[in-house]
Amino acid sequence: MSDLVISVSQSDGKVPVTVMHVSGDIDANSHQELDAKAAEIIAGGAKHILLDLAQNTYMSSAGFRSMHKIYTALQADDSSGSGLRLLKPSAEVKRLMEAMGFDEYIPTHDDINEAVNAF
Amino acid sequence: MEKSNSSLTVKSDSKNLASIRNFIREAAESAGLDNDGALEICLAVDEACANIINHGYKNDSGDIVVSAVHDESKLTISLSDNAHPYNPLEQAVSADLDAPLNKRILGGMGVLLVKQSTDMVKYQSPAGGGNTLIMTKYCHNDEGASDISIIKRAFECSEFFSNMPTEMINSLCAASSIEHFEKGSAIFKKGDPGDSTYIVTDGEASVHEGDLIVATLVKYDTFGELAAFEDKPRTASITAKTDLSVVRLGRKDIIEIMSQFPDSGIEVARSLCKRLRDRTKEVIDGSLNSARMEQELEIGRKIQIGFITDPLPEVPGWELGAYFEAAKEVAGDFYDVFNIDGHSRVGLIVADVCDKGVGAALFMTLFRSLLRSTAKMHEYSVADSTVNKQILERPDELLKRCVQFTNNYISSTHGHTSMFATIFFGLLEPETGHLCYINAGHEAPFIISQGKIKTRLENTGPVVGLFEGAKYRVGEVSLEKNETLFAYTDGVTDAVNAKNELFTEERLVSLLIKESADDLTKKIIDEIKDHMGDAPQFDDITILSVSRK
Repeated sequence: MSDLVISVSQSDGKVPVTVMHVSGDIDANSHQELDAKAAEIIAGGAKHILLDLAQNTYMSSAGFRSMHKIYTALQADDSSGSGLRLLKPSAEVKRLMEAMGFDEYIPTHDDINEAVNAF
Repeated sequence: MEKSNSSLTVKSDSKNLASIRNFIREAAESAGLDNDGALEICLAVDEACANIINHGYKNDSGDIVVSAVHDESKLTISLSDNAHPYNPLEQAVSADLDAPLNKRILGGMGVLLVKQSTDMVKYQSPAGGGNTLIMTKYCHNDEGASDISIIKRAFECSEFFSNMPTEMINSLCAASSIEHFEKGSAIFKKGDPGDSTYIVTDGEASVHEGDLIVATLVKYDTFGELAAFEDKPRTASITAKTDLSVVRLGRKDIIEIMSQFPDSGIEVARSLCKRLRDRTKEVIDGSLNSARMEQELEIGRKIQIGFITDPLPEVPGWELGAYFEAAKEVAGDFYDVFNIDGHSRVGLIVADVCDKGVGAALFMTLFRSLLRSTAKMHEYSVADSTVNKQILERPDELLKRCVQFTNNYISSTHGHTSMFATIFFGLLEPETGHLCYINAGHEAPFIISQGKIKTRLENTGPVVGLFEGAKYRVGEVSLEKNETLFAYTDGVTDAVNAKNELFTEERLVSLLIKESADDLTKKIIDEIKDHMGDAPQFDDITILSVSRK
């Protein structure tokens, strides 16, 4: 088991992008930290969030619910394209994104520059 | 067969999910699951435990016992709790994966993941209370597996067969074969003789009655099992929704094998009882749903009746009569009578929105509101009333404004729905009997004078709602003393009796000529009801009559 740790950095492409680096497990317990951090960032005016999942070790449906929350909150401000993108999700998360039809709405990237410039 | 056991007991707290996952990872490793398989069973158990913690125990504390058993081919995890009895696999809300992401209700996602990430999941309600959820994950997937191992797995994972004795399952396997169907091909059709039972091993199949899909069958669902026990025609059609692989077991074989295992009767009876219980629940849920829908419709009906003017306004020197009856709970027809600028003018509307039922009723409220609000704009508006009142001196312009505005609004805003209304809209000056009107594709109203049809108010423009920018001509006519304007919808002339005979326009005309103006509406309605007898009403019926005394 590995505890959830979230760090935040800024990256500028065509628009300012807030990158949330998530390491550890996102489950029914720890997802609240992700929710709270994202809400704080969105309240602070962020319009584009890149969720860096390179160090994410596990994600349950709670994590998908969190992504849905972030996606919807960003969508309210900006309806042109998704305000949320994923960086380097695991093969398992990618499979679940597809199985649950999230991939149509939340794009995933394997390269950070490509991801930041996609917003 | 060598089996290995281990178990873990934790308190119901989401903080313990991580240690449960560690336990499952170790169990998966000793069972020989590959990395993907381990991740999947781990996810399934995690979701199921989160469900127990959040929905089972809620705020209570209690234990969750996780036990793992494996043999050379599969890992089986059981979760036991003492929470109130609750079968997560039967929960009503299942995540809708086709809705746009921001419109989704995410309840049910966890259970979906449990089902997707395991080969088999079963719920049991132990006699001593609490709940047990059993999840099975095979060490290797079907790819590259031999037919016999795919068949064996299908029987072990099929809800219908899984509880039958192992020796019997082995015999059933030996008598079964694998068949493949291309997407779109029929496995069997309703009415075909039922000679086999099937278990899906790959792909999906639709259970359907004609074009109506009743259910979708997925991996390890059993179908056609009723045919295994009685030699009767198929009750529904099954078609491959994707490329499909199934295990097929013939009727004769299953009967013969059952007779070799007399003890299996009880398990078969149990499986059939479960099927029956599931169906009964579906029927009850369906009835509850339709009762709820009926209640909603009743509310809609009451709201719509509120849109129908009753009682009619008093117009000195005139007798007004109106009738409205919906064919269904809610209607597309309506009439409206309202004073404009005190008593100086009266608006008279009879309209028929195409179609019937809820869709027509929603548009009825829209048409009615647009017509009435544009006609009374000067009264509702806060702008300079002298400017607004100028329009009243030109009733023909006011009519055009109302109808053209409504037409343009509906055709530009709702054009894609192709909903329209035929509308007769008259503005009567009671003082003089002067009537100007627009007839937008509606049944031409009659003017009756001394037992004769004096004239009919024919079309002055197209139906409302389809053609943006359509122009409407305004007709004019004068109603003298003892003359009557009679407007109606085609529900009157098209009313049918039990022999399917129409009421007809001829019959309506003969009545209009014969009857005096007093209570004309009631007399006509009595005749229509007499004609219809007990036959069901197919269309909304609306009448408006206006007589000058």
